Parts: sequence; C-alpha cells; structure tokens
Amino acid sequence: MAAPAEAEAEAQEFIKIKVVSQDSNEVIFRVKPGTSMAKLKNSYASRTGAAVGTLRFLFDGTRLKDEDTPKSLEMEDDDVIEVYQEQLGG
Amino acid sequence: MESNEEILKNVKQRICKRDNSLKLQFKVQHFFFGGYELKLLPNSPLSIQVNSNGKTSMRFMMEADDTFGLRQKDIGCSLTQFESLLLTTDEEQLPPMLACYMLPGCIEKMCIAQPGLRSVLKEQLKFNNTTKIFNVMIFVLKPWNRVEYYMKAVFMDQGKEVERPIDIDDAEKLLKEEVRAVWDQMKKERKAKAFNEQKAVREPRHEHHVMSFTETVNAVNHEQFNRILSELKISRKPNKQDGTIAFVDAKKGGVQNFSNGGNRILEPFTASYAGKKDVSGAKRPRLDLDPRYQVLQSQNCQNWPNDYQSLNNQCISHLEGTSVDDLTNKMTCLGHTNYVENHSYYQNLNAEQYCQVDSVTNGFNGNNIAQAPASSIATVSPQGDAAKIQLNLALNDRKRAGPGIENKALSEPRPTGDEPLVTLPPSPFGGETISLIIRDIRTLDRKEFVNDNVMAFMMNYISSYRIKKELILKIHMFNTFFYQSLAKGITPLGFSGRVGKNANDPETLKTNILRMQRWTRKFDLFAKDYIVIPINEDFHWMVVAVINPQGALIEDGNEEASRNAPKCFMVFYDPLSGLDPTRRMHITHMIKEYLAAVCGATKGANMKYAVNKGATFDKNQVVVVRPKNAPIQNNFSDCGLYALHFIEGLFCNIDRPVTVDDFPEFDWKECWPEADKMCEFTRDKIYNLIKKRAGPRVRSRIEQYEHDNRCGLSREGESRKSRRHSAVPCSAQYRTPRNTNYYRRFYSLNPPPIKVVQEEPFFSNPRNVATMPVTQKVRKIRPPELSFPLAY
Repeated sequence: MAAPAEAEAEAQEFIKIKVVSQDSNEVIFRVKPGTSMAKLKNSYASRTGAAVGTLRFLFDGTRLKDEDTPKSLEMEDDDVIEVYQEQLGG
Repeated sequence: MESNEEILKNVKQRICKRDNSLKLQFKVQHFFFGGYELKLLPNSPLSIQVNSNGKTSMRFMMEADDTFGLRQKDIGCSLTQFESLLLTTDEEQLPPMLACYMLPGCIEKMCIAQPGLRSVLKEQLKFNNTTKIFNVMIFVLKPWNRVEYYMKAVFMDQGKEVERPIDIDDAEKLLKEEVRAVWDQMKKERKAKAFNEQKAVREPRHEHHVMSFTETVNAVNHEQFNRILSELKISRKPNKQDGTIAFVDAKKGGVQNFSNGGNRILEPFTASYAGKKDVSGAKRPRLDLDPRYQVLQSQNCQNWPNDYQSLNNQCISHLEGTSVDDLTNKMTCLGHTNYVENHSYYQNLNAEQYCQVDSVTNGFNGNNIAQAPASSIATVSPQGDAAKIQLNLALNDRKRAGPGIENKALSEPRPTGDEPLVTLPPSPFGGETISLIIRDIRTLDRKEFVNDNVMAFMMNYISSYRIKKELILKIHMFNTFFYQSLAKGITPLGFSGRVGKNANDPETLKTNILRMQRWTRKFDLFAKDYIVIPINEDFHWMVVAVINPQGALIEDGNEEASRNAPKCFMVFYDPLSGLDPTRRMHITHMIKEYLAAVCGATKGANMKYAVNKGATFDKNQVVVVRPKNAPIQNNFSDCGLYALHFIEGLFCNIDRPVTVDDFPEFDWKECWPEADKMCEFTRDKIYNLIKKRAGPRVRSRIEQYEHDNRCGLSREGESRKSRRHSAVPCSAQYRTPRNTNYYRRFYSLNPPPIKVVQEEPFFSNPRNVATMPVTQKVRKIRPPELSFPLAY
C-alpha cells in the first residue's frame, strides 16, 4: 500500500510541460514546481543544439524570465510553452 | 526712472533679440591669466556684447607690459570659444569674480592676437613641469560708482546711449539664464554649420556652470591669488575640512593655521627660496618662491587637480593603508575603459608597490623584494640576481598582458555575447521583462537588421518612460511574436487576394486563434483605446495599430447608435512605403479575424466581459488606413527603427496622442514634420540609450567586447581612418602593384575608384522610389514579376 502512495505523491510533485517549437516538434519536460525556467531553457537549448540567446520561450503570450518557476506562473499539467526563433527585420 | 524689474526685463529682451548695441559691462579690479596677474587698461570695462557678425563675444583692453612683451591691445573672443563662464557671488568675504574657462582654440586665438601671452604660458610651464596649460581667466570685479552695482548695461535707446546699473544677483541670473540661452543657441548653430561642412567641432568637456569655485581657484595660481586677496585686506578662511591651504608668514616667523595632515615635512623657506631664486631667472619673481606666502600642502589633499606632486601623493596614499588583497580586488574589477587611468596609477607607484602588485597578481612569491627598501625601479637592489630577474619577468609579463589588467581572464572572463547585460522591468501596463545580451546590442550596428529583443526593449522603454500614465492604461501592445503565432502555418500572403488561395488556410487560422485565446484571458481587449501589434514577416518589421477597437462592435439592441459611432481604424504602417496593398490586405484580414474571434469569446451575450446584451464584431466597421506621409526608409536595413518611431509617434506627440477624430484625413507630416530625419538618427539614439542605461560597469564590458571584435557604432570608421593615414607597410615597399584594383586598399592612399565599391547595385532606395513622379517610376521600375517587387 505504501509504495503506490509514494509514487502518487511523487507524481504530484512533478508537472508535465510541453515545449513546442514552431515546426511543431514537442519536447516534454517533467518539472518540479520550484525549478527555475533558466534550467528548462538551458536543457531545451542543449537538446536542440541551439544557443539559448537565440530562442524565445513564451507562456501565454509573455516571455519567460529566468527566475520564473512553474509555481509563480501557475502552470498546470500539459501546459504548453512555445518556442520561437530570434526575429530579425530590415 | 525705471524700476529694477523693468530694467531687467528690457535687458532680457535685448539679449534675446541679440541687440547689437547692448553691452554688459563689468569693472575689473584684477585680471589673472594662467598663473599671473596681468594689467588691464585703467578704466576700461570688461564687456559682453554682440559683435557685428551677430555673435556674442567678450572684450577687454590689455595694457602694455614689458615683462612679457605684451602690447596694448583690444582683445575680443567669441563665447563659443569658452567652455564655461562662472560668476561667483556667494563666496565669503570675497569680491565677486568672473571666471572664464577657455577651450584650447580660444587660447591659441588670444595668443595670435597678443603674442606676449605665449610667453606667459611658457613661464607657467617652466615652473610647473606639467603639460597642462591653464585655461582660465579670472576677473576680480569692482563695483561701479554705487556699491552694489557690479554690472552695467549699456544700450541704445531711441538714438541715445543709455546706462543702466544692474544688481549682482540679477547679473548672475542674467548670465545664467539669458546669456546662456543665446550662447547655447550659438553653439548649436556652429555645430550645425560644421556638420553641414563636415568638419569636426570641439565639444566642451563639462557642463556649463557646474564647476565649483574651489575648482576654479585651484586652476589658477593659488598663491598669487591669495596675495592679492590679502592686499585687499580680505582674508580667506582656511578650509579645515580640505586640509589644503595654510599660510606661512615669514615676518611673523611662525606657522599659522597649519591644518594639514602632518605628513609632509616643512622645509625652512629661506633655504628653498635661496636655492630656487637663481633657477627661476624670470624678471618677475615667482610668487610661490616668495617666502611670505609659501603654501603648504597636505598629502591627502583632494582639491588640487593641477598639482602633479599632490596627485602622485594622492595615488600612493590611495594605495597605502589598504591590504594587498583589497588592492588586487580593486584592480580586477576595473573595466577596460579605465585602462588609461590605471596605467598612470602604475606609473605613479614606486618600486615597492610595483613589487606588491606584481607579486600578488602574477602569483610568485616576491617577499624578499617587497621587503627591500627601494626608491625607484632603476635602483632596485634585491638580495640576489634571481630575485632581480624575477622582478623583470614579472614586469614583462605585465606588459605583455596588454590592455586587460593582469590575469583578468581568470577572475572575469572576456565578454562572449551571451550574458544578460541590460535589463528593463515591465512597464505598469504589464509588459515583459527584457534583458539584452551583447548579441542584441550588436544588431544595432550600422546596416544590421534589428532584433526582436531590441524592439521589445524599446517598446518597453517607450511605454514605461515616454507615455503618460493616463494614456498607458488605454493601450495594449502585443509582443513581436503575436503575429508570428497568428500566421503560423498559413500560406504567405494567402489572404491578400493576389495569390492563389490555399483551401486549408481559414481552418489553420481558426486553430491559431483558438490557441491564442489565453493571450488575452486576463483583461478585456476591447476596453482599450489602442492596440499596437508589431509585425515581423519576411525579415521585415511593420506595425499595425488598431485605434478605437470599440468602434467595430455593434451592440445588440441599439444597432443604429453603434453604427453611427466613430468607426474603428486599423492603421497599417510599412516602412517600405506600403503602397502595394497586397501585404496590407493579408495582414489586416487576419487581425480582423482575430478581433472578431476575441469579441465572440468575450463580448457576446452572457460572456465574460459582456456589456448590456452583448455585442458582435462587424468587419465593415473597420477602416484600414495607410498613414499619409509617414516616413519611408531610405535603405534596406532600418525598418525596425522606423517602426519604433511610428509607435512612439502615435502616442508621444507634444500636445496629444493621435485619436480617432484625426482619421481618415490623417497626415503624419502634421504631427512629425521632421520624421525622415528623426528616423535616420534613431539607431544611434537607441544605441546610446541602451549604453546609458547599462551603467558604468556593463558599459565598459560592452566597450571591451566592441574593442575586441572591432565593431559598434561608437567605433565606426576607425579602421578606415587608420588605414588611410597609415604608412605603406614595409612588405609593400618592394613591390609595385600593376593594377591597383586587384590589391587591397592600403596599397593606395587614395579612395578606391567608384566602380569597385558599388553599394546596393540592383535596388534603388525605397524612399526615392516611393516619392518618384509617376512617369519616372514607370520607366525605371521593371514589372514586379521580373524582379524584386520594389514598392510595397
């Protein structure tokens, strides 16, 4: 009885977050509510091989700050973070 | 007789008009130039007046003086040659003084007019051993006949010359406000003229009227000054806080008011006087050699910028008393720009401190050297040769390390371009926090495309600092990704009606809009008066501003009234003129769809933000407008900056923002007549703004990065200059280039032939195309299907 309860508690601790790029590739992260977004950004960038400085992460239409956490953004399970490339224009 | 105020008003008006006959005259008691007191012609006034060229100038008559070979001469110099003017009135027990800081050009001009002044300056150099030429003239003023009136205004009134006395306080006000305004104007004109002629202008180094009196006095010969003052029987109180000045009176034979820190040994003045008397050789004895008025300085003096010795002392005392760790800490956090000053720090150190610094920073054990007493580097006598070599090595290392401070790389890595530097918090209406990295600042280099971070930073800045608080609550600015998100997966220009329609597009648009509903879930979009949407498409920045979105809503129940209300205007601004409607139609269609969907989701009957019975969005109520006479970019790289100008221009007009009532006959020229010119400078403005906000430390980092990579607006044109004026390299001396076109630039000191450098060979400038007369346009532009679609 004890083991599944612990597993449940653990599952509750983590939040599943989808990071979707513009070509509709999804990467799913399991994040604790207290982890900072900088960590998520860095791991996504290292996974896709792009520099962090060229990627923009948006949640609900606002950019993510490095200090943000899922808790401060009131994220829930299966929430989507959109990733955009740097925009240039002349 | 006129009252005081009337006189003042009259004079002020005349100053503003630049009246030719107006002279502001002072009576001069003493005149100091450089370190010496020179004579003015008795009873000749010092006057500030407008000369025949309409320029404000200062005039005075110098008396002949054989000691320096001065001739009797009327000297006048334009105020533009001065760095600052300072009328001091609030010093205790001193008569008012007028101090004029001159720019170097002014000194040269005066020396040409009065060659004797050159020898005055040379004398000064002989004694001071500094390269700095004192650039101050001080006039000690004397009242005109009546006691309080130090200034006299002389002007022509109805054919008669009239004199009016002016109070000292009023005189100060006049100088500070009226004369300064005219003066500033003159400077601007001069600069503009030089800009047109493409010449350089010498800029003043300081703000006007910012220097304190102590600084002014320190710039001239202090001793002489004090002597004169003591003759005037006005004693200046020694300032105990400074600890700088103390008089020694030889006749009384004692030290009076000796208030220095006690670090410097007092020499008997007779000795010093006897020793230096012959060396001086000047006809007029130097006053600091005069035994009566020898001035002693304390080591910790802060206020003697011109005294080299004290500067040295200051540096050393600055280093003394701190632990070596502190010292190194200080050195590692100094930025690149501080290098020149730091270098002089090193020069001022004695050998002992050299050793300390090097032993710490280079990490070798230099205890034995540091303990050895040494007076200078040349005479360092350590216990063994090994130590000497080590010391030399250490010094060499330091030299090799170059501009950075030693081992800087270990403590603070060179900027790579990825660290956040400047951060701007969101504005009150709830934007985003933007932090710029060096890479973003690089996009502001000339001919670079502007980055979304810079755009967001500036939009943030505009909404935080440029727009009034009442207005900002009525504006919603979407971020630059709004449109990209809206147009995701849609055929480019699919809704324009000019290209083939993709059947899937409307559905894709619907899913996109559905996905974006969360963007506006926290507020009512239709409660705003303005919606600003920056658009980035095909490497081009555009702006759509929706003005009065409520105008498109039709309330159920009273449809007539809402149809007659002012309409909603959608202003589409494209810096590439926007004459071709293709893109406009495409973009505005999608935004209309989005607004309709938002309205349906929030404003419909019984919805979240419904008013009365609810409302529906009518697309026919939306009028799409292109702003008339809006600035058009004149190159292919500046569009982001033009877009920013547009956003700022909508809200930051002097009297009021642009409103619905201005439409449809809305002319951008009426709001911003100089828009084209403003936009051309926007790049530099934003660059400077970012650097200004960055703070000194970050700024030095940016500059270091720019130095390393040879980029940046502030370093523009440097490489070219150095190449053109440098000598031909040695390797080139033996070869004769046959065809210069095939060789690199530095073989020729002439500019390259025109054919080699062809900028933008295929396209003409968009602004020219847009403003070209129609006949010419038809002839010049090829049909769009054959080439780049030039004019949209």
